[in-house]
Amino acid sequence: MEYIDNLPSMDLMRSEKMMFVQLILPVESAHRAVSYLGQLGLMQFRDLNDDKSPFQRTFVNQVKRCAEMSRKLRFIKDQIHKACLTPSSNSSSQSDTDLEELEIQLAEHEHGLSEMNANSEKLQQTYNELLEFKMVLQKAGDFLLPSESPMTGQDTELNDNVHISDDYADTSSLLDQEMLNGHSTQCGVGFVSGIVPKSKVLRFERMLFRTTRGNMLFNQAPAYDQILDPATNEMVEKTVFVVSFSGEQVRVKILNICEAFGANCYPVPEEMTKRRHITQEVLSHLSDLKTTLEAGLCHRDKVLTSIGFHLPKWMNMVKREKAVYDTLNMLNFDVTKKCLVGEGWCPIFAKTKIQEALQRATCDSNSQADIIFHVKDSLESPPTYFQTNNFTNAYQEIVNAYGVAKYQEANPAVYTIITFPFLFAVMVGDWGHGICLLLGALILIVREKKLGSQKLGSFMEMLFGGRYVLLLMSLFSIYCGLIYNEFFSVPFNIFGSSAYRCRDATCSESRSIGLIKYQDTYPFGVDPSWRGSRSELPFLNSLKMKMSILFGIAQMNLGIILSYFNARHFRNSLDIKYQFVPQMIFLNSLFGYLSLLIITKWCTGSKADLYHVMIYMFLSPFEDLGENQLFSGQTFFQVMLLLLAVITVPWMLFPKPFILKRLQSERFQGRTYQSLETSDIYNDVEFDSASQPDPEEFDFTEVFVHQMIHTIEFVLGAVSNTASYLRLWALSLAHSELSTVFYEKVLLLAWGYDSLVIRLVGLAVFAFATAFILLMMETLSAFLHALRLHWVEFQNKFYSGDGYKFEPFSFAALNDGED
Amino acid sequence: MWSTPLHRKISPVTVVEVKELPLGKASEMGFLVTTLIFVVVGVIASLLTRICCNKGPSTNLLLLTLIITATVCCWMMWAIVYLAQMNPLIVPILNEVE
Repeated sequence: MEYIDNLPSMDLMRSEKMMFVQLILPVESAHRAVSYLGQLGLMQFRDLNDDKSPFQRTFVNQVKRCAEMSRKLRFIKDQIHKACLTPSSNSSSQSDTDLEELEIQLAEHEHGLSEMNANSEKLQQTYNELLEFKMVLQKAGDFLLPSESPMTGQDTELNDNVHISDDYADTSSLLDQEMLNGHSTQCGVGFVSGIVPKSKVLRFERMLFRTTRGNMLFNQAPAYDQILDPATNEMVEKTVFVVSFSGEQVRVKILNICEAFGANCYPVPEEMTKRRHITQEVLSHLSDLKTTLEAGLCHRDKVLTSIGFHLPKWMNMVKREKAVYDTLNMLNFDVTKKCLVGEGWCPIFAKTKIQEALQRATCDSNSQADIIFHVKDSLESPPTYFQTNNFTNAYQEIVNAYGVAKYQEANPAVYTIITFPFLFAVMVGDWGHGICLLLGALILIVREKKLGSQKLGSFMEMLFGGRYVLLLMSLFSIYCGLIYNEFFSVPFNIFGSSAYRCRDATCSESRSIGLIKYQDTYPFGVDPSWRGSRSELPFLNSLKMKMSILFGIAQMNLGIILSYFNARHFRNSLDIKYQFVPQMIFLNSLFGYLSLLIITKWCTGSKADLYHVMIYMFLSPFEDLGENQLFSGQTFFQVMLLLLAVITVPWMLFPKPFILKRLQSERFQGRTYQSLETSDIYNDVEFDSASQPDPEEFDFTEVFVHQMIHTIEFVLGAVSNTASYLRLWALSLAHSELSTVFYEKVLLLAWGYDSLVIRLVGLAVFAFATAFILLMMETLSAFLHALRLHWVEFQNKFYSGDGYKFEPFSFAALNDGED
Repeated sequence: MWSTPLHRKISPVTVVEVKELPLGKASEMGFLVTTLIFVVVGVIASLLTRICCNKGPSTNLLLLTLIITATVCCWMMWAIVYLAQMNPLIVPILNEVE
């Protein structure tokens, strides 16, 4: 046993040893020290100010400033995005600008940008109005004719004279007469011209009709250009309209209605020349504005591009500063108010690196006082930290998804790396599908760098994260496929000829009694003669069920052995004697014996019925086995095993609680003597929460019930978990049958026809069915079941999984988290 | 290539009396030989990893564990299928040809 102790520790097997440290940072070097520690990323700070609200903490102002700066940066980023500029990523890490300088710069930039935006908005609005005016002028001019009345001397823009277009000749005559009758008076005819969104034109017209009781003339023409609506930033179609009416009150009403419908009214002079003159002015204004607008946009784009150059670096800096201040907020001021005191966890191997970083911080900030870094004792359980690389990370995540390992307990991930893909492959078992999966995995691995820097969708991200798992799954699938002898459900004679042939030359009995085995067993895998025969399923079912049981017993034994190593590591001899030993004996005397029977039956070729043997081992153990006997002395052996199994149940149940109780009472008696002498020590220790079990809290009933539950769980679990492994058989059967159906009923059927079209269609359907149903759905299903087998049947033998993960203060983790 | 019993012709072979090991013994020899092959492959794989990626004793131990686990799993799979076919209780019965 000393040999095991002398072995070097395995890399991933147990979590890193952690130590609890206390840091005393002088105020001037605190900020720098924390940021260097953040770069290192190996220290987890404990929040000493848990009970304070965010506003009561020391550095709340700095945090607010950082939040304000990141808001401004987000605003700038939005602006860049809206202007459709792609920010050029500048990856050069220049000397870091000071935070205060950055704050001032950001304030300036934000102010400047807001002003620019406001100006350009105003300009855009004016531009829009002028554009609308131009359109109204052009279209309305078609509706209006130059007035021939001598009253033109009174030409104001809202002239009372009537202007008729040629199209409305019938209605015009009446108004004409009225015109001839009287000159412009207070109750004369006027018009209003403007522009209204096309969607509202109908309702607008109807409203006008109702209000004026039909005494109006509504002319409209669609504007040929679309106008940019500043509110919604979309192009809207508008219609130019001219409303002719009579009377002053009507004008007021019409103007109100125009306002309500968002129609803009523009004054149009009736005279052709004047109109032309105004149109020219408007056009020149428009071109001026356009150039101004474009110049403004150009300038803004330039500014944005120059800012955008620095933007990622600034955002990074602000994020880091905020994180540093958040961490500083977790520290306490000591009594002299000159130092900050912090506590946290760090791995033991990182001690020198951390001390060096703190040393650098002291030098760089020209501080007089050194940073004190010393190890403290802690009564709470340390966090769990596994150093993983790209390959092992995926498996560790799979294990962590069930529960993070307790500090320093055996990590199932070590074995999961191999057994998980292997059990997956047992359920898939087709080397054609394995090759497809391998291609997929290789593509993901080869494009690792490119895909790693992109932002992927959630499904692709999961697939990418598990690329090494997929690789191993595919390799084992190819292996299992070769063993099951299935290539898209077709068997091959790769490893020699089949061991079966007809009994005689005529092969007359091959369909009734069958072939015989005339040579040695097919050397690698399932004999190709089985595929397609009538007795294929009985044979394969028997084989796969027995195989599942054997794998299940093997994995469960591994789990129990790992629990032995756990108990050994934590020096818990109670667990070894009263948990490991009886568990091993119970499982192996019943189900290990079953495995032995299976192997013996295969080796000897006996016709014994194993169901019968196992059941009657319990029901009538002393009865003679008759033709079910596999080896001599079997009855006696079975009785012995049964007795052993029965003894182990009270062995698991009773001794441990009683011994614990005895140990507890011994400790308690010892404690009363101790506490009289060392009472001062107990007074000083105030922040260590007393996690030494209070003697009165040891509840014997609770411990006993807990042990009973554990025993029952194991005993019943031995049966149910063993049966649970039969899913290996079930899924493998399902996969093989689906594959056979697709091959025979789709591909072969289509290939039977002579037409090329039908063959191609059949090939396509076969390809789709294979890709979606077999490669995606079955793969997911097998993945899930293999996962369940690991999480429940394997891990409940030894894993407690109630630890918490080590989350160091790290700048690298920040970037990953926020992206 | 599509050599399912459905499609291939079973050529009658005359049983030739050859002085060779009886079936049982030969199967056992085959079993032992192939087991030995698995062991050798495992040893070679661990030596290769020791040569290629030698990153300290703890990592070496992890790699060794992985290789041993993989070898044992693969060997178990092969051995189970081989043993099950050594002394079969049922034989292939061909389907009726349509």
